Amino acid sequence: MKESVRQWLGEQMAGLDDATLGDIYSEYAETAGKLYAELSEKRAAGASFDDVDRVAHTLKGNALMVGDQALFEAVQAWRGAIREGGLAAGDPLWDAIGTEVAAIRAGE
Amino acid sequence: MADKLKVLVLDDERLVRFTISAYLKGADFSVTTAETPSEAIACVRRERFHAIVSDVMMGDMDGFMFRSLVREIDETIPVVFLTSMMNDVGNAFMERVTEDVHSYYVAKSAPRSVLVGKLRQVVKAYIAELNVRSMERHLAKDLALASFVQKAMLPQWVHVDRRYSYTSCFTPYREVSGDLYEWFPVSEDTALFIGGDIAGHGTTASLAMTAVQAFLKQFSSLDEKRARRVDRIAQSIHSFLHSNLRDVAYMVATIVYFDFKNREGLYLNCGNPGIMVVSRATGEQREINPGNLGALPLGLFGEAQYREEDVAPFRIEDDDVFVSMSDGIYDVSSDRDGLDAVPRDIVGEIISLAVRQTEAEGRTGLFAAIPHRIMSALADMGYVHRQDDVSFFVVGANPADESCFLLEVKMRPELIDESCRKAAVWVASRYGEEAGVKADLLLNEHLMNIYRHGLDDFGRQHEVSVLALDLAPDGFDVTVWDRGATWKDVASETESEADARLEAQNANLAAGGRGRCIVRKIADSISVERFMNLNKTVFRVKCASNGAGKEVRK
Repeated sequence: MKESVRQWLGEQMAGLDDATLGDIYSEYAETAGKLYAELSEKRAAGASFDDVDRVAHTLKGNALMVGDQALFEAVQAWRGAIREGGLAAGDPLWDAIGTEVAAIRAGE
Repeated sequence: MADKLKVLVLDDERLVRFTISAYLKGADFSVTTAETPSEAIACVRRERFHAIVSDVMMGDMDGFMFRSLVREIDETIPVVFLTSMMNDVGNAFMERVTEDVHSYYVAKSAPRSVLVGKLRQVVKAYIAELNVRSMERHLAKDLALASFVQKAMLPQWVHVDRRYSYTSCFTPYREVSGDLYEWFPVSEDTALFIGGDIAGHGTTASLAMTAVQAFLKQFSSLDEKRARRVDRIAQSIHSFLHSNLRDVAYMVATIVYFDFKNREGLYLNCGNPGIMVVSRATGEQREINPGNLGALPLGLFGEAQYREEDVAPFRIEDDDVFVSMSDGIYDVSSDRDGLDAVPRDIVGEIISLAVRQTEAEGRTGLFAAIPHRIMSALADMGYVHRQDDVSFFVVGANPADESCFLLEVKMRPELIDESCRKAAVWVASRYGEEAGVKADLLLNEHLMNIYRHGLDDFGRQHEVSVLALDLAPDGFDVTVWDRGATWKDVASETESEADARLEAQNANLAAGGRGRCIVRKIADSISVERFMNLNKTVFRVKCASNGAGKEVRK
């Protein structure tokens, strides 16, 4: 489990047993992987802002649910950039999202 | 398990449903989850929840649209939006949340304890509101029952006797009233009137009113000798109040003994506004108690004595109308706060005018509409807000006039039939059999198939209307006074329109409403007036007199 998430869940979800916390993390990691893949496809296909933003919003929301501040901030920054300047404007920030998702998957 | 707070969680993301559900269950909530708004709506229809936690941005329907669907089912269930949008949209989001007073929000980034704290807080408020509403429903039900009991204990609103007629109007400030009145016939020619107003208004006054009204029923069987002793009756009511309701209620009252045969009466006033005596012919007012005799309110001072020398004797003139009213009439105002109350002299003028209007209508005017005309006139002048109970009781001797036939009709079918037959006999004796049959049919249709249809069960058992049959130069008039629903539009309906409607309704005899078409076809003209909740319907039926009637009123 990604350390920052473990810490957040431990504090915020106090009282839940380890198995449940593990289930929550697994669900988070699996969903984050799927959403990142979906976002990558839409980005490559040059989808509309609304289309990619809906997926990004979900990814960001899930990060908040488990206190994954790093992924939340990465997605938030990317969304801000593409909202201002279109998909290309987000390119410099895209890799940060991939890095965070990879870290999450690694913690499974 | 039964005591757990039940929460419905709606989110299209499995992670959110799973996480929130796990956490809330850990905090001892009972949780149901839904993936889509339609699934959640089905849950709300099926089950009662204490709160709903909902996502804002979902696939086909956003959280606000979902909330409006929930409101069609439950107007007050708390909806807590769980969102990550606050960083994005700020005020616009907040405005949408708060446009519904039972909506709240919690950021997805907030510590979980914040969600639990918010849920506990809003559910507490929701349950308190449900309890208050439930209590209000019970109170309204109790109040309706109390109002029913009070009205059932009052005498019927109008009565036509051989020598006199009376009418009354009872308008509580809020459902129940501290006003009361009783009319007890003592013999064919004599009667006892007791009118009172318990101090204050609202539930306390109305409870005392009901107790006193029950106590007064014992005076229904007095003989003439005892009924004349209005001072002893006052003493008896005073003792009852002082012994049983001391420190709770006292009452101002007027007790009057009427002897319509000998045209005299006995009047005892105990702190009440008293009785106005108005001449039907001129509208002028006469003092019933010029010496200002009177006594203390009943039940106020234990040692109070009610003596024969406080009783004022008075004459009953042929055209006297006696108007008793509670002092609530002087608190009727044009503004809600009661600052602009109706001036006393205007009340007097309106009463005189109402009596004169009644006289102008001849005997068919009766006294039936006097209280209702007074209240209608005040409303026309803008005095529509009552700050206290208002009640009227109006009585007078029947003038000797054989060109008119007055009849009181109780709304039970067998009694309606009997009254209609009496009316038909009166008409037939003056206009022949065919006219009698017309009168019978017209009244039967009006009373049985129009008026009675509009009454509730209580009304069908207890309601009374009054008929006045009056000779006219080219036929006869039937005036009906009733407190049913208004039906003004029938007066403007043409006969051919009535024909068409009747034909259509005859095709389906089970359908209601035929009465209206039938009376429209029998009557050559119909006029309808309404004074407050009182209808005056006049049917003119043209036919030739057979000369049996005495002088025809012009």
